[in-house]
Amino acid sequence: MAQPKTVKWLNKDLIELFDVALYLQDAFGADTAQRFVFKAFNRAEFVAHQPEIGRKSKRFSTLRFVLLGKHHRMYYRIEGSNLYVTYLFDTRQSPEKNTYR
Amino acid sequence: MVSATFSVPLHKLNAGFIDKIKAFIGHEEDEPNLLISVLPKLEPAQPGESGGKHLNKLERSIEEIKKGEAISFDSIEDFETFVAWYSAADDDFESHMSDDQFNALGEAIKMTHDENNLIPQPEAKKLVVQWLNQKLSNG
Repeated sequence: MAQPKTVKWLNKDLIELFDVALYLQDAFGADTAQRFVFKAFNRAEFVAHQPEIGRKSKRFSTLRFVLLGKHHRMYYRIEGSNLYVTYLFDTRQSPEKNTYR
Repeated sequence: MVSATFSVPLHKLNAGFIDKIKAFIGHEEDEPNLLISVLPKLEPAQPGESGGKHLNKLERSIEEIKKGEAISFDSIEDFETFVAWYSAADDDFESHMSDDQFNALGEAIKMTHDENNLIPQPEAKKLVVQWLNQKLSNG
């Protein structure tokens, strides 16, 4: 089995993750928010062990994505021994709107 | 932790198969403490096939596993997600991306080339948990 990749988050995605967590906390409570956050980190760790498992992006050849629940997808790219979490998308909403503020 | 291993050909993984697994294990919780592994199925020796040839197949399968081609899943959700990716007829989310969204994704890729924009996962986790706890204690 290949060595797992080292996961690095783009700082702005971390802010996005935090925003989602705040929204979930307000809407559904602290437990839901924490579950989502840990799911995101666990998913990144999971992909680090099997980086080819994510589906390839049709528009960006260097990117793959995995789903975070029904409504979010996490884009990442692999370079050498690193896995970069590149973008978190809410797939339900218009991209022009930040639905979490 | 319950462990379940399914050995099936990958092309046979579909929603019906997942339903069967769920029914089999009595899945009800959102986050079950269950480890599901799916291993490549080794074809049984064919009539008239020599023992040596069958052994070669077995060795090949073991090599596939060593190369990481055997896939295991930490949860039913991971398993379902994986199957959904591979069985979905089409995925049109990206086709409907706006220009802004497309540009933002392109910009994000560029940003990942600068170490100053990156935070290793252990620190990232610590930061987010810290923020959440602060938010909780502030009500």
